[in-house]
Amino acid sequence: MMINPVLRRELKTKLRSWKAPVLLMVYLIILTGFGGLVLLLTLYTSYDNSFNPQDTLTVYGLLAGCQMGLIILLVPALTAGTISGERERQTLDLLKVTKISSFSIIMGKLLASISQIMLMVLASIPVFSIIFIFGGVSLKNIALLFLYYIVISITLGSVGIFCSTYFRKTTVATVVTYLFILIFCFGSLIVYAIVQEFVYYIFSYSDGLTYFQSVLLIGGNPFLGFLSVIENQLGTDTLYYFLNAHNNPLNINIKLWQFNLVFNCLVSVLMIFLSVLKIRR
Amino acid sequence: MLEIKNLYKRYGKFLAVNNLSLSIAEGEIFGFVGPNGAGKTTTMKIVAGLLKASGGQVLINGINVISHPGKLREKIGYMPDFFGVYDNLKVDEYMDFYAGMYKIPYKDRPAIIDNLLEIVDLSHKRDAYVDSLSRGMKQRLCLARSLIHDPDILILDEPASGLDPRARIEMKEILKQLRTLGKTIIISSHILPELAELCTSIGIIENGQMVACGKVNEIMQQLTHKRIIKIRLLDKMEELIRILQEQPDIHNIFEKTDEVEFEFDGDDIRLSQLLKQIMEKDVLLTAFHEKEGNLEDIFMKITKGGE
Repeated sequence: MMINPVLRRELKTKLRSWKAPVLLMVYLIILTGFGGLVLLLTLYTSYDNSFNPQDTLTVYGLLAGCQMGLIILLVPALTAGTISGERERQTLDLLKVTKISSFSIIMGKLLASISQIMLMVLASIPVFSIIFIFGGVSLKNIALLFLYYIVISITLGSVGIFCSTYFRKTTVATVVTYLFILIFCFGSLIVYAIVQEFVYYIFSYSDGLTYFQSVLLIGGNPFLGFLSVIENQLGTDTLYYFLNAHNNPLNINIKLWQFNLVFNCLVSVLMIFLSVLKIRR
Repeated sequence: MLEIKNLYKRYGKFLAVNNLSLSIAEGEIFGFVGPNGAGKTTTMKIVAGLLKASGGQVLINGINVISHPGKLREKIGYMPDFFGVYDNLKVDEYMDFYAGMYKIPYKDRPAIIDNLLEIVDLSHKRDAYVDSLSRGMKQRLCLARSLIHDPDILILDEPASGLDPRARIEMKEILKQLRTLGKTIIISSHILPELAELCTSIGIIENGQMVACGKVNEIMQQLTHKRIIKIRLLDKMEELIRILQEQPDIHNIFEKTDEVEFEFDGDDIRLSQLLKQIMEKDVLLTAFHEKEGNLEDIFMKITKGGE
């Protein structure tokens, strides 16, 4: 079996450069520093200076949130220059005249960037294992969280590659990718709040949007998707109120993170499809 | 082998290639000549499958490659005028990467890469990083890359641009070697004497249109109806000019310090009579010969509208 040559070359050149280990080191320092700080604060701010094992769940949630934030920040930077960089380096034409398909070029680029993110996520497992000392988080929980990281990385990565394909300059592609993600993360929250208020205003005494309508409207938001995964594990219910889960006349049982995973997969497929179309010969 | 029929390429209102047709036989080295912006690179990119034509056909052995791009990629090796290389990649890894891009099996790659690096004289650099190579070496490496899938047709867009004289000679030698391998080569260059030496035929393009196409000698004959005679002498310049001015079949006499050039309509007998007449006047000549036309002359004549 032949490995995608674009993926093979990208991994080789990326890992040979000094940037990869430095990025990994900085990533782990931030994550470990943040985890350590949260753990210390939890230990020293308790009422009787004792450690409540239940607090490890809070540490776990914050650590997972920190990792999520780092992924959102890093993925666009790693993907927005993939195709535009080839164009700027004047190597894209050399790829396009070969026998390999545009789909393989795009997938090679995407997988190489995602592999680098996955390397960072995998390297963070020992940091997360601090939580295991105190218990409270099962391996299944960690696996679900890491699956969510993979899916969201692929989605954000495919958005980055899409921008990189459509914009000639890497700087423009990077800025547009961050803007896109900003709108994706915060714009949808604002739209949801406006629609919710509008419904309350128009239909006085109503319960607002139903749970299903809320999920459809904001279910793709990565923050809420992540929150849903974490809340599912921590047993908290912030999203229950935020999404009007009590207003569920159709008795829909789908969880937000489940909808979110499907939504993200569809966005990824669409972005990859559009990118392939753009560089197709 | 390669036939281009009524090719058009339009960018908005601008017609970059205008009804261009040409035919190149197998094993030929075709020189593509034209001023900057004439449409050479656009035509080459269309043939290489990088640009879509607005109209017309590109046929390789009768198959329209515009509608069958997969077949095109197997048959064509392309070297652009400007290209970059990857950082942190060694010469043999660079070649291996492109071998992968052409789906060449792993087991066949070492022999192919060894052979190609030998052809372009880069065997000693196989463990060097590609970004550390000189411009000439990068050009040669790119040429080797374009040959990795053993294409029948090579499209080389300005392969000698930006190279120093030594690197240009090395590139020319490699191209001569490729000619012996039976490759059909389409080459564009501004260094016209080099093309004349290499090419079996040429096409001159201006404003997207083919203004002349064929064997170098045939085009020369079509364009130069008059012979150019050059005389070098030691003295009696005025006497010589007077003799020349008296001849009915001599026009446009150009006088330099110790040389005279003129257009001559007559045949060889008239030419020998002229020489005899000059000698009889005791003009001391050091040279008397017909000037060979070259590609630069043709190019200048055609692209200036035959001035």
